[in-house]
Order: sequence, then C-alpha cells, then structure tokens
Amino acid sequence: MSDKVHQDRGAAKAKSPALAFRGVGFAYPGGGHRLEGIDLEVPRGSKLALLGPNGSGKTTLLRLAGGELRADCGVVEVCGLDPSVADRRLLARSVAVVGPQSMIGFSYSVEEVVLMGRAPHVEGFRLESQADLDAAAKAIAAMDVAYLSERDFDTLSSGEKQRVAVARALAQEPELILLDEPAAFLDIKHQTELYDLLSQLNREQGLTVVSVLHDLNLASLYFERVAMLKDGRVFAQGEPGAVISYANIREVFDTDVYVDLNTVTGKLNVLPLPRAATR
Amino acid sequence: MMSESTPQSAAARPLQRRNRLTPGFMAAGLAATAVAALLAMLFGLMAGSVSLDPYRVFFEQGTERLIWLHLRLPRVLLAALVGAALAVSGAALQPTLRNPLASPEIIGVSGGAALAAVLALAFLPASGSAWYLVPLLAFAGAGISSVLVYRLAHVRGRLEPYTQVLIGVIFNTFAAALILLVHALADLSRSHSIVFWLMGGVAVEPYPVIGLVAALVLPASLLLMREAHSLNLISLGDETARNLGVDTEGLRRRVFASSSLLVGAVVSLCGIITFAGLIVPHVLRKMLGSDNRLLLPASFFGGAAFLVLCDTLARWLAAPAELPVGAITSLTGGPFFIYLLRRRPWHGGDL
Repeated sequence: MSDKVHQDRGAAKAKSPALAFRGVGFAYPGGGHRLEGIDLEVPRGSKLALLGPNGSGKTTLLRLAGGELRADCGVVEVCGLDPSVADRRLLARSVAVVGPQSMIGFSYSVEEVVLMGRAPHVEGFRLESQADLDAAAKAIAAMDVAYLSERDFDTLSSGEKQRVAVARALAQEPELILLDEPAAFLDIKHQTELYDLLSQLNREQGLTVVSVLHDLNLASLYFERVAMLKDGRVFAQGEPGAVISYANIREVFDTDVYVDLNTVTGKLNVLPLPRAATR
Repeated sequence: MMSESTPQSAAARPLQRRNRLTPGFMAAGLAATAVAALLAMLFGLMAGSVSLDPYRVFFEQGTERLIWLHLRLPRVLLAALVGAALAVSGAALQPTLRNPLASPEIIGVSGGAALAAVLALAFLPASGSAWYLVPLLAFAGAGISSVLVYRLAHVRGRLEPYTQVLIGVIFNTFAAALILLVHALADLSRSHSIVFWLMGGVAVEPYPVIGLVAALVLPASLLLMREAHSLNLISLGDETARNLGVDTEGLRRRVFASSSLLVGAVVSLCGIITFAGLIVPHVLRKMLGSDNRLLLPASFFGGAAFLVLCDTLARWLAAPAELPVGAITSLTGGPFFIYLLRRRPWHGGDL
C-alpha cells in the first residue's frame, strides 16, 4: 500500500464518522425486504443498537455496512471507505462483522478460528507473527473461551460458537464492530459479559459498536443510542429512554408490553405481556 | 473460573503450540512428506518386473541401465507429478466447494477430457502418429469442458459452490453417457484401447512430454498454494471470509482455473485415476491438521508418494502383467482411510 493511500485514509478518518447511511435505499433482487430513505450516523467511539421486528431490515443494514450488499441509492460510508467497492483487506482492518455461525466442515481448533481474525493483518503465505498471536490470546481471554482452545469449532454449542466468533472479530482489532444479534445463544452471564466487554473496549479503546439486538432491556442498559426500524425505515432514533417507549413498541412490534424503570440501574425494564393479561 | 472469567480481570494466556500451525510443525510436516515422496520414488525406481541392482544401473553400460533410464525413471517421475497434481487440487477444491467429498474429477473437467479421448480413440485413423493426438485432443476436451462448466455454474454473477458441484457431477454423467454411446458405435477392434484408456494408468512417456506436464503442474500447484490462507478462511463461509478480507469470487475463479489445468494435464495423459485426489488430502488432514498452508504442499508431496507407491505395486504385484493403478489406489487407500477414521473420533462434520 502506498503512503498516499495512508494519508488519504488518515485525512478521511479525522472527519468522517465510523458509519453513515445517507438516503440509502435497497431492495433484494427478486423482492422481499427493502430499505428506504435510511439516514443514520454513528460517530467514532459511540455505540448504537439496532432494534426492530423480524424482517424490518436490521441485518440488511449491517450487510450494507459490511460491503456484502450494495445500496441501490444513497451513500454508505464506513470508516471513510465505501464498503461496496473498497479493497476487502483494507476494509477488514477497520471493520469486523459477527454474523450467524455455520459449520466449517473441516476440523479447526477454536484457537485456529480466532487466529483467522488476524488474516487481514497477515501477509500472503506467512504464518502469524508474535503480535498476531498476542492479539488472538488477548481476544480469547477477553471472551472467556480459553478453556475451549483445543476444541474443534464444529463441536461447540451455539453460544460457545458465538463467543468464539466475537473473539475472532476482536482479534481483528477493528475500529468498528458490527454484531448481528450476538447475544442470541448466550446465557445471561455471557450476555452481560459480552456487553460489559464491548462497553469497556468502547470506553478504553474507542471501539465503535453497532449491534442488532432483540433484547430491549440489554439495549437500554448498554447503549446510549438506539435506532428502531419498521418495514425498512428508521421509525425512531435517539436515547433508549425516549425510543423504547410503550407507544413505540406497540406501534413497531404490534404487541403489548409492560414498561417501567428499573430502580437498580435507573434504566428501562421491558417485559412481555401474554395476550390474556391485556384483555 | 469465578472472578478470573470476567473480561476485566482476564489475563491473556499465551497460545498453546499444539492447537495451531507453528513454523516448527510446518517444517516437520513438509520434511516428512517430502522424504516420503523421495522414498517412494526410490522404491519405485528399484522394484518392478525386473529388480534392478543399483550398482549395475549406475556403473555399468547395460540393459539394466537402459531399463532404469528409459522405463523406470520416466514412469516414476510421471506418477509423482500425476499424484501431486491430483492431491493438491483435491485439497484446494474441498474447502472451496465446501464439500469434503470433492475430488478433482468433480469439477467436470475429466468428463470432457475422457469424452474427447474416447472420440479420438474410436474414430481417428489407426496409424501410429494419430495416437499422439489422443492426449492433445483430451487436453482440448478438458479445456472446453472447464469453460463450459464454469459458465454454467455462474449464477447471477456468482460461482456458487453447490451449483458448481452439481453441474460438475451432471456434466460427468452426461459425458459418461456419451462415452457409452461412442463405445457402442465404435469398431470392435477399438474397444480394447477405449476400455484401457478409461481405466487410467501411468504409462512410460518420453522425457519432453514429462517436461511439459511438469511445466503445467508445478506452476499451477504453486498458484493453489498461494491461496492457502484464503482457503482456510473460506471454510468459515463466504460472508465471513469476505469480512476477513478475502475476495471470494476471485479465489473461486483462481482455484477453478488452476485445478482445471492440473486435472486436464493429468487426465489427458493418464486417463481417470480415481481416489488419489480425494483420499490423500483427507489422510493428511487427519495427521497434520486442516491448515491449508501446510496441507497443500504436504498433499503435493503426499500425493506424489501415494501414486508412485500404487503405480509400483501395480506393475510389481502381478508381474509381468500389470494391474490398473486406479484399482490399487482404491484398494490400498480405502482401508487405510477407514482405519484413520475409526482410530480417533471424527470431530464434528469433518466428512
């Protein structure tokens, strides 16, 4: 890579947000879900939770940000780069994505899988350097998966796989981490630990966190900003206290909930209500 | 585990050696497979229908030297190249197609090569020089079929692994059906050579031909080895691989092109030799791990060792008659592989 690219990137970095959508529209070829008029800006070093019902476009947003999909109109900007045309390795040094985990089909140890997170930093045919090994070891310790190190990734439970995937993303040492429902298979301890850790990295290292979440309580506990999506549009965005309201949830999720303030955390508590209770 | 396991207090433990590919293990694995290949070649050079005395080969001008130089050496060299090409392309195709059953034949190239060869064997005028055209036509057939399969497997601008495997398999079946038709229509006197070609085998070829095969096999194998790290990543799934910086489309294209070249070169000269490209990578994966940075070069050497060994057995066991080498590869490789499978628990979805 030339110095010029470095400079250009440095200049772009200084002013640009970690992630920005400006008037973004997208439709899958062959119909299905679509996004319309998405305007979102995630400043560097901040945290954003994406909320919304199934099929509202949360994952599509992440895939646009990760360069997996290309917007039909509007501008997507990630760490100063256009993710749909940027060099993949360059992008991978700034952005890590944690999506759903599938079977590998070949036997790789957990440690090898986490080390693969160093790929954007490893040149060509070489093996990992000591710096790569250290970064991976740090990520393994942070995600509490050291006891799984020698296990075959395919033999792990869904929750363990998820934690290993986050460790791999952390080993990437990104500026921005995009997470698609990372807490889905995690037990309550590992859920809080995951968001504790992400918040800590956010505070101490300025890691920008964008996470799709189904748990509205976790969103209000750990995020200073949330965006609620409905039918491919941003329905509301702002502080969780304002966005995660009874009225918004009623409107967006089409379901009744019980909302009050948690006296311990001072944040919102959202509890589901069975239909029988609301009659 | 209580307080140590919280992220804030966790101290990073250095990574364990045995859980990953270390430079030491890589060097040892490469050395071991290379030595195995050399030993197999030595065995192949000495054993056969006539056993040769090394002293006479090297220090006397006589029949033994002629046998060694003009029969044994070229055949062993060709067997080594063929085994190396099949194994390294199999090792690269398995993660690319995300299919542990993938073998070099699966991309459909061998079907096209075989069809072209059989057409040539059935209908070319029976003169001595015409037979030289058979491998050339087979190679052309391999080229045409690889372009065809590549085009057909391209759906909406993407090379889908499942589509690619299905197209390859269907293409081979189609080619096999055409071969049956051609065989049925061909003159009975041609039947033997057709069947013989289809069985596959390493023949004694002149040195320039071997040089040509080497000139195709070595660079194509190196091109595959260059992609080794990306092949690890694509095992995680295409989307994850892209998020880790891999140009998956380009990778698929390059692996397909190099493999087509390898398989085309091999099949057009030796016919279809099954099993080596499937089994050698699996056996080595069991012994050395799945990291393709070691697995690909190790498969190159291991494939050479395996096919030289099988070819030597093929011409030695029933000497002076010769057994088809494809039968030997399956008969020896199969049981060994099952032994490996059962010796240690087969983790997860390894096969």
